[in-house]
Amino acid sequence: MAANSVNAEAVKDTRSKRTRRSRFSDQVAHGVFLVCAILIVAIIFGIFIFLGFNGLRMFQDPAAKNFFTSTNWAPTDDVPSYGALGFILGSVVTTLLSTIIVTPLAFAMALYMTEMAPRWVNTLLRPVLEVFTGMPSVVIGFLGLIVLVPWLTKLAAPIAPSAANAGVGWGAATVILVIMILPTVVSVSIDALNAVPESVREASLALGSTRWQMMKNAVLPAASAGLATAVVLGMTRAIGEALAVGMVLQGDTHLPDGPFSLGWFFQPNINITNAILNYFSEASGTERNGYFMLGFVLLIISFLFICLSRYIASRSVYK
Amino acid sequence: MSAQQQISTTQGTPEDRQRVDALQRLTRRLHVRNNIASAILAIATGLGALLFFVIIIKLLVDGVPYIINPNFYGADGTGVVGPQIFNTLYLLVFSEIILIPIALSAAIYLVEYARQGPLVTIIHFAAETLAGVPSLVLGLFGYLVFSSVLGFGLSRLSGILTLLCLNFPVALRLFEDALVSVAREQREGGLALGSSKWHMIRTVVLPSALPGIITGVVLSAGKVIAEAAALIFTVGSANPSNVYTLNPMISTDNLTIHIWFLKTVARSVRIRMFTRSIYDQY
Amino acid sequence: MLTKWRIAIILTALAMLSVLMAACGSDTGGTTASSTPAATTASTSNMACEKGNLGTGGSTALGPLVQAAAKAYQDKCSGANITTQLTGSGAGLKGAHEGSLQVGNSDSFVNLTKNPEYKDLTDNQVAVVVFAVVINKDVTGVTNLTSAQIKDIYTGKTTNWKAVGGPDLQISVISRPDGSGTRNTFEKYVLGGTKESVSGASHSTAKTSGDVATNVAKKSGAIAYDTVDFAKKNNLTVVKIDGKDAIADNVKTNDYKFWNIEHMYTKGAATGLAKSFIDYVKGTDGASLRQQFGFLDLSAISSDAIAAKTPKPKHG
Repeated sequence: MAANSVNAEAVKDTRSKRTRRSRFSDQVAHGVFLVCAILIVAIIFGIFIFLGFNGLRMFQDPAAKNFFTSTNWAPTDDVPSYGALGFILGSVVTTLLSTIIVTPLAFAMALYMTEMAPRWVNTLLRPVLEVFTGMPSVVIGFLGLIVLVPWLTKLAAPIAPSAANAGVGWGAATVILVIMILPTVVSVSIDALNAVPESVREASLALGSTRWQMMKNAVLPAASAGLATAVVLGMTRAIGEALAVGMVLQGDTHLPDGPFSLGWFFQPNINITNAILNYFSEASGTERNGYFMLGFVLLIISFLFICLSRYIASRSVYK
Repeated sequence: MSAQQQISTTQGTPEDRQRVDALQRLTRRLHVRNNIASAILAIATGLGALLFFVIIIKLLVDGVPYIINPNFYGADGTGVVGPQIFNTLYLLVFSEIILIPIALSAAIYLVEYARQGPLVTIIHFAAETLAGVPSLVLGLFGYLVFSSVLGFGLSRLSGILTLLCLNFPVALRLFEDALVSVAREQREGGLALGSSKWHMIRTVVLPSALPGIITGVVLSAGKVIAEAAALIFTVGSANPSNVYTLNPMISTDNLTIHIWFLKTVARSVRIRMFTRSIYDQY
Repeated sequence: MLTKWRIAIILTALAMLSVLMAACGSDTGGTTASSTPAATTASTSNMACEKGNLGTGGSTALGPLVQAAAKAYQDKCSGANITTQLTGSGAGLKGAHEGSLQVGNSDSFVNLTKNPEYKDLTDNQVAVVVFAVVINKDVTGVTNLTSAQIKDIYTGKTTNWKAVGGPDLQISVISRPDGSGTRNTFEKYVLGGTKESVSGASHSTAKTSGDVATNVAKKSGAIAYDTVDFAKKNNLTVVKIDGKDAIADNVKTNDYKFWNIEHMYTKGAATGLAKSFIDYVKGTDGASLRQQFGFLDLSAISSDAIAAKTPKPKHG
């Protein structure tokens, strides 16, 4: 600074003023930009701290110690119980099941669209994928409620414990999640496949591979990191999906009775987001903190997913 | 192909012919497999596409009669969505007004000022994590911080601030891309003319990055229109009599919340049809 | 590029929304013009207008009355913005306590043993609500249920309508969530203090009074509880409880037990717009609205009956 002002004295007065002013405004701008950039760190820390503080506070209540070990969520009973395992199970089951359905389908669609499809297929399908990637989840949930649920009610009535409620539950939620995450996974997979250089394909074909061998042995392995990222991204979306799934789950706070069976998928059932959505606004005391804890669990799960996808991305060859 | 045919037509020893037969069988098998695989891929794509098109057609068939019905857009009464459209636009405009300067500033810092180092890594990691936070969890956070602790109650302001948290990482990413894409020569040219960094950014980088910035704004706008879960606990699901004001402290709903809400208290399917149809064009 | 398409689509949606807004704008002109005469009549009424923003919310049973009263109040007093969330009694109390709402509507008294933190809430009693046990129209031949029968159904002991004199049909039990004031009242005064404990595939939960009504109408063999007003407006079959009809005369004497006092809780004493609005709901101005939505006046109920519903203050 001192050297600068000595310099400034040497040059003409007006010029020095202008320089000083512009340097000052440069510093102010720098500061403002830095604050804005730090803000995003502050927000994410705030989310962890506020949710974590409110959620973990529930464990002050000794009745909450079975949070991760019991499936009995009965906060208003005379002897309250806060077992959230049922909610967590619901989220995990629907997410895994929908991912298992989506992954092969999405990879097939992405492979077809990048490697084989005639031009018009891409022209037609890509905008459609885009529309569905940004589709409001309530719209899908609403469609599920008026189209899918009545249809499933008829279809699944024989294997469901209650014919009137056969259309709702994990089964319907899985279908909804498939529709929700399929476009995302396909889009990201297409990007991953397109990132594989043409030379990889040419090398494989030059060795005499059929097109399928080329895809199987050259393109898919080369794009594996990107494809894995696509699946993790889909899972992140699926586990946090609230409204669409809540509309077709319609459960209260309990898992169905009896041992785990096919019938579980075709009766009102539960997951984390549905519980928060339906019960948070009325809850008080330990129960209220319990829903913050569920939100915190959701936050941790999606955080782990993000870490996983970062790890995978760091190992990818082509970006 | 022609080479193989040549081999098969040449007369040779029995071993040669055997080898040729085996090669032909292999080729045939590979071709059959290739065809089967292609067919499976095509069928899977067809099924996926069918699913999407059925949904779009269903929405269009059920929705268009309401879209073209002027009563649907009325200001008052049941089965009209005038207030919801206004609220959606209100939340959209005001959340963008707050979002753009903040996200753009952060992007400028990351691209123009920051040196590669732990701070940039942390900011990028924070942005990625925030982008992955489920919107319902953001809703809980918004309720806790903006509605309760800061005392804004269920209000448009709480909703706008929650939307800021939701859209910040998305916009930051897109703005960064836009700034990075400005050529280095242009920047250096600006600096060589003796202008300060901030002056160079204002006069050279931002104008060149404008198309990319607009892309970012539009994409984050799409997220605002579609969002519901983050808003249910922060802006509420009810309207005062007069929603056509700029008052940020009143509780309102928007189109997506309205659909969700009608699902729980609606008395007729018809009203839901009304609301949903808005999304046909979306 | 994919994003090109998405941008095009979003821009189309935005353009559509703006065009629609313009269309709505012209409508708004009409409504404000028509509400101006109403505002002038306000000056002739003796009620005091307050300006400001008021967030109310909670009970879905009281909701329709509060909504209608809010609309009438805002028509009279321009500058007052009142919203009514339909989220359940528990949500009303919690909102008032945590500051997300200014007025919390509730079907039942604050339970200070369960929620000692709610001691900062002030009770404003506004009306009396009558509930009813309702059944789906498929259930023919059932007009009366005893408290014991209802208790058996809601604790899962009775699962078929045959057992209570109806057709051979599975009972589909519909509940309200735990925080619901309607459910609290039901458990306290119909089930005699027993908690609902039915679960399983034939049991479901409906979030609001309106949701209960649509579900009972839709689900074969359904039973639920709702306000008499919602039941009437949705043409649901109301059953007698212990031989008593859900009518005003039986409520006044507390012969029919399934009713409760409606409250509008505020944090501390109500002031300004909140006070003015609560007075409007319970005062003479709101009388016709209360009647329209099937609420009884507090003054019409015998003091013994009121005392029976009011929790005894704990001494010591």
